[in-house]
Amino acid sequence: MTERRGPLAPFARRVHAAVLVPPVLLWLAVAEIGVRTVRLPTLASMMGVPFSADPVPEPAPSDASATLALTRGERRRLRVLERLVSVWPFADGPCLRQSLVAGRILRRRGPVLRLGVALDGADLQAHAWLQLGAVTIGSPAHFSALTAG
Amino acid sequence: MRRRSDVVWRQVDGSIVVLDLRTSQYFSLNPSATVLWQLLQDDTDVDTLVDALVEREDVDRERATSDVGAFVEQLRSLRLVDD
Repeated sequence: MTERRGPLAPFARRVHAAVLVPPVLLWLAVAEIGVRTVRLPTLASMMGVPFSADPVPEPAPSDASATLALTRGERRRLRVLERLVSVWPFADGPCLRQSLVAGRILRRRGPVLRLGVALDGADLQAHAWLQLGAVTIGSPAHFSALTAG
Repeated sequence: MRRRSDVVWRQVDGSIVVLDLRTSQYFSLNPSATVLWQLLQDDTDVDTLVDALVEREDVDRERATSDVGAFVEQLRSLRLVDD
């Protein structure tokens, strides 16, 4: 969906940023401190996006935009999050922080946090993403979800 | 002995990747250890692990006993299993 643009659009964007950035930044900071100090399942539950080690439902679309009707507020907050994460200096791969905060933003939809791994030769790569029912957000196809079974 | 409940894992390219959710540490197990790890889903003793290794990996019992002993000791030191 495209948003209307007018002469006041730049001003409106600044107002939106002023309103939206602080809470998203705050939750990003909470996530950053939390991943260093709190057990991940506990942190994830605190942020409203419990960690799931259940088997992954199949099929799982990799792109949520086609199947999730996000509200304008959710889209704006997720965009702010993406911008903040792109300049976040405290983690090389901030997908876990991003997923935790995105889960916080979308918590009313009942998301769960997934963790996955892939091997690139001898190198282990880890990734985090959100799952809302059969829909995933931020899940590259080559990562396999960690499960308890 | 069995895997702790707050450990998650996945088999990737023949190896097992384990994440300890208490410490957020990842571990990678080699393909031989994969056989043993899968048996640890249920309460299992060392003899059962040795039998499985002899049967599935085609190694002699002495070697299997040694390998299982080292594996179990490592799992215990990493606190990935409950006795």
